[in-house]
Amino acid sequence: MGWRARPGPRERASTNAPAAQGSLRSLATAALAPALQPGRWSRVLIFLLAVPVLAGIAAYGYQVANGLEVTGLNDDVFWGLYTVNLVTLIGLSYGGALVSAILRLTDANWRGPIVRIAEGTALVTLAVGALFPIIHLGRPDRMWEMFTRPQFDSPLLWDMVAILTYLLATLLLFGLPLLPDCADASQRSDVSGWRRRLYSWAAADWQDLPEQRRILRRSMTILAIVIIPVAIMVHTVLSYAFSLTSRPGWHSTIFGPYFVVAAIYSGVAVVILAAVAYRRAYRLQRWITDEAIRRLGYILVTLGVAYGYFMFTEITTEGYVGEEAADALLYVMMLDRYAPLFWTFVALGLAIPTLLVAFRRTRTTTGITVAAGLVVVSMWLKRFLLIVPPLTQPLFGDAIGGYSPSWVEWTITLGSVAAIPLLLILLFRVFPVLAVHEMQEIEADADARSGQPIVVTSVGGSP
Amino acid sequence: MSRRPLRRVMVALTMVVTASVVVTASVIGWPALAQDAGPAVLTLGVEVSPIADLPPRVTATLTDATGTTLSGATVSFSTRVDIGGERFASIGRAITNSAGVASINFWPRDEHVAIKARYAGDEHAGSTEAVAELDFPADVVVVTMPTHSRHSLLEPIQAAMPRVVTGLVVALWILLIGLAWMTRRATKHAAAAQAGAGGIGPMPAGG
Repeated sequence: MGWRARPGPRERASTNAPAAQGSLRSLATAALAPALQPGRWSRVLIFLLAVPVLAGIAAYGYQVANGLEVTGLNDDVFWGLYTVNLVTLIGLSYGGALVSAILRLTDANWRGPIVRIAEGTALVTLAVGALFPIIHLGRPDRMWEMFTRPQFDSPLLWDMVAILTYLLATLLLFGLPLLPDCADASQRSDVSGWRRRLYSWAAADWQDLPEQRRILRRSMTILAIVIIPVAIMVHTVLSYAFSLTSRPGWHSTIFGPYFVVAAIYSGVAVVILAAVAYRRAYRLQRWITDEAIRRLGYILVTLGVAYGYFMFTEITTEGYVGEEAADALLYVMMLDRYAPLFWTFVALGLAIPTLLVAFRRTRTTTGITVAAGLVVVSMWLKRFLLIVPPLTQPLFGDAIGGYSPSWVEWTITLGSVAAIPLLLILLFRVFPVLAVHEMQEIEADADARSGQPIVVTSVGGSP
Repeated sequence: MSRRPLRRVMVALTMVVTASVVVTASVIGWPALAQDAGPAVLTLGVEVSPIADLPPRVTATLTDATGTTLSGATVSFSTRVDIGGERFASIGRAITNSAGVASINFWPRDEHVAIKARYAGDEHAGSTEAVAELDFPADVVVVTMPTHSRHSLLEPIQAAMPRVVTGLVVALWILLIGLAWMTRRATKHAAAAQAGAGGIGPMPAGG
């Protein structure tokens, strides 16, 4: 295993126990470095990110005061950047949760350093993404009517239910594995005050007893099993907001799985970006190894190929029949008004990332990070192409609609983009960025499989 | 200039302006107020074009209390909808012509549609509104998506689905919240049992 420090954290009954304890302490210290030794640049970064976030909040206040007419939305294009952001961010979240759940269920032994970052990313992207249906309302106070006057026939109601359910599941996915890590952290001599109180509460009397380990392992298995269908449900229901509408470009049976694959594709990309950023910022190369990034790169490219396949199937099916409205839509998207965006997506979102991971020379951490960055941006572009062009095509008559996002929409969008790293930084200013306990367990399992005796040691105490 | 003379000038100017307004108003008359003019009357109707594909027009004829048609007045139209409860949703505005008629294009979703027309009032007539159930020919009714009124062979399944899905969601929430609660509780219970059995206090956590 790549992150493995020699000798293993569950120390062998041998003479090198002190060295192993030191190794464990350094793992625990590394996991809490963003919280306990954030560095001056961290504050600068928080400030730099807070500026666009505050600008976004101010723009939203302006929109609430003046109504949706300050946006570029109109009678034809009634869903714009806000819906694009909603679909994109929920998708990013979905990828993080699925990476964590699938890697746990398949017992992938390289998951250790990745899962906490994946779960944190899932949580913050979902928290930001879930705001967009509210931002999109001209009268946000009417959100309450979703509860008081629910329309059970509407996909939008079920969207809300699915997102809230997924938020709860993601919170648990992030929170439950924190029990042992918080117990470790609460024992550290350099942790005091509110942090110690928080960690002690979150630890729930964790003493690393075999019974406690068994309970946690069982709960995490159940949660990992539950969260996969929940996450699929969320994105499928989100796709229903489009596919249950009688509109060319949207009314498609493939939309459920199409959305799901798109979500995991962009989600894995954002996990790669977050992992690489933390690895670089806090010198976690020893734990978040090149090997782990490379494996995530393989998953990324596999999903990219799958997404390309779905896109090809959708376009071929619609285009071959030659139905007039579908023809017109494909024409504006691939050859006319939106062609530059479409072909940019094909190049930057599908072709280049695949090539970067396919060739050994570019299959480096840098190459995979570039691929992931391209995927995140391109998938946002693809959601724009999915939502806006179909709305510009007239259902009656022949007047083509148009949409030009206003400065309010752009400011809120930029604010939400900045909010994700900001919240992630704040989250890991509190909680350990690495799943220390899980990494130890994986290591111990590997040792047990190799037939070497292990002895339990503590990593509590000073760093 | 000292402060006192400036104040005198200001007071004098105010008095002159006020007196001018009062005198002018007395000579040419005060602007008529809407309530003085009496309520206006709106009458709703439908005009269907003989040419296919042209939308029907909803008309509202505006007259004052004496029955004289009013031109150049803005009339707002809305239709009764059932979106999160019954309410009227705006469908457009139009200005009355020389015959006092304001009209808008309107594709109905049903053969019978409740339309409200509203006139806010001005110096010629007071505000008024009228609601009427207008009848449209069946061939101009536009159905863009499945509605409750359309009979479906899948009705039993459609009726059951919300209950089934609601049940599943509630079960899922119970499972998730229960899982979190049970995990914390079982973890604490195990620690307490350990302390009770062995008399061992909390030990440092970790590996």
